[in-house]
Amino acid sequence: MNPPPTAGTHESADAALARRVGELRVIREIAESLHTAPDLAVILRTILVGATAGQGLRFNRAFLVLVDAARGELRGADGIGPADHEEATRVWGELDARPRSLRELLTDYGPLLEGSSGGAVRGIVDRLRVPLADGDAFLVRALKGGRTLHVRDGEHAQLLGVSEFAAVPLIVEGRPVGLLLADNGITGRPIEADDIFVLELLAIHAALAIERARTSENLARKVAQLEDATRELREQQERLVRAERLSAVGEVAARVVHEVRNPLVAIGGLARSILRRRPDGAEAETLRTVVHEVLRLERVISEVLDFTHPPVPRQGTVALAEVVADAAALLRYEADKSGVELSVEVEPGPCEAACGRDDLFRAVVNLVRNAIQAMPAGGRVTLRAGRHGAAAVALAVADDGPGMPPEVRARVLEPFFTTKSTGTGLGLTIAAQIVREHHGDIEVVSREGAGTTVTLRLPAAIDGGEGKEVDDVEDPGR
Amino acid sequence: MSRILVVEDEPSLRMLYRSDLSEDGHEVATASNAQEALAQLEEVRPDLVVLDIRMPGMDGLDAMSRILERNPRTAVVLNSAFSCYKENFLSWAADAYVVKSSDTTELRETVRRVLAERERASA
Repeated sequence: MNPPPTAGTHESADAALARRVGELRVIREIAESLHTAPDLAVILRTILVGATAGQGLRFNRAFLVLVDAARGELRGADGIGPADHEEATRVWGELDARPRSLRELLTDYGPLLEGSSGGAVRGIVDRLRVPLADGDAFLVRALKGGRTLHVRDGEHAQLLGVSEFAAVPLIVEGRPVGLLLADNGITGRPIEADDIFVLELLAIHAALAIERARTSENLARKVAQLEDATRELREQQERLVRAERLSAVGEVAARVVHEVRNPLVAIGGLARSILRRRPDGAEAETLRTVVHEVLRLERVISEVLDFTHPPVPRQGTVALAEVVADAAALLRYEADKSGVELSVEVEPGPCEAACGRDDLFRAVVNLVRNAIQAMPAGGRVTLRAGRHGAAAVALAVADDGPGMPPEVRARVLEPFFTTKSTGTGLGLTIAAQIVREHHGDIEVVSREGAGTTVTLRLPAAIDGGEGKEVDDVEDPGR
Repeated sequence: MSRILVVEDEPSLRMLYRSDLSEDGHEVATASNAQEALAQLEEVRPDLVVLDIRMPGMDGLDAMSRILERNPRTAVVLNSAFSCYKENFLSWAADAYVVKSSDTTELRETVRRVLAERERASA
């Protein structure tokens, strides 16, 4: 920006020394600004203003080209400088009106240029795109070789639309960060060895600052990802706990319902009988209240049952791997407590069943819990999931417990059938019912002394369809 | 007049079903468990059996298959506290499945309907 020394002008030794000291001061000021810059955008601006600052490096225009690892290319990131002579005269005139510190320049220079140069410089920045794999591209070669280029031949200098420019690689600990380009396209002042030396000095600070900003941006992104993952994990855990609580409620409810419903039915039913016979009797109003209140209680019981066991199968698709993992996670503690080793074997590749996720989860949890309870002295339970032919998937729960005698095996799917002192005997029945509701089947294979394997087979999820219509229910009016 | 055998382990419910079904003009016998019911089959010769599913000893489903072995023409109405196994139980060859309720209208109408169907079928 200072009036360019014409070629061949002889600076006195004092003047040269004063200029060098001035340049070093600017470099120091830039370095300090870079250290306190809040983000990458400000860092880039600071470097560019520093390279073109009046008291310092005195280049007319400067550009930053950065490595974009994700896209595998060198990309123009930012640029600064007037569009033409006219703008240069105006802007530099205003800046020379009073001396400014670099910090002031940072805030003042941008707005001064906003008017027209946005287009010209921005256009060059946008055009600066070179694939990193292009080993013949001179910018890539300079970056990889770590050598400053003083581009003076017309063909290459055409990149910035000038007759010559300097390109300094930005490198940190051997890692290429990008390049800092600078030219004197407006004044045409030749670039001298001294100018390049100072530009290289600036490049060292620039590279460090850019690398630091990018690292911290990466770190922030990773932290955000980690936070997302943690939140997801916590939500999943809460879902599991909720599902577990529901299934416990279901067991208790099944028992309570049977114990409570029968006496209720008798109370309400007998009251109705009396009312029918003597609708105008002295106690008719009292009896009507009894009938009404019993009905209310019965309704509550039905609601509890519907809540714990939705009578309508939930449609959808579910990845077997996910259900198996969730079930194993939920029952890990129970298994550990009984000395049972729980393992999961999932066939690689996509494997989805046409079945509501929660339904299948409940079925699998019931099977695994049964298997664990079948081995009070410990053992091994294996959950296997995979495809079964072209149109089906299979999920098996195998234990190496005592197995079942044939007469027990024959009855395990009946409701309320149990060989345990605790439990409702509904676990396997529920699993079987769920699988049938989703047009699948259940198979129980057991050998005494060799363990039991329960296999659920379900239609595989197909795009756009979920198997045949629900029509397995026989006509209740038969 | 049709003969009905009610198999139910709760005494109060036996009382209720006997009272309500008699009111509808049926001849009602009761048994408190499956063995008792089987023992009464020859004597009562029921047209229809109302069966509770969950009973101590032999359960209702076992009882049903024994009853049908003796006389395949006996109509069976299953009666249970559990609504959610309706579909499963129907496939066990019962004629109807009724969820227990203090309002016996459904049970009584089901009994009437099943008996009428039997009569039409044998006519």
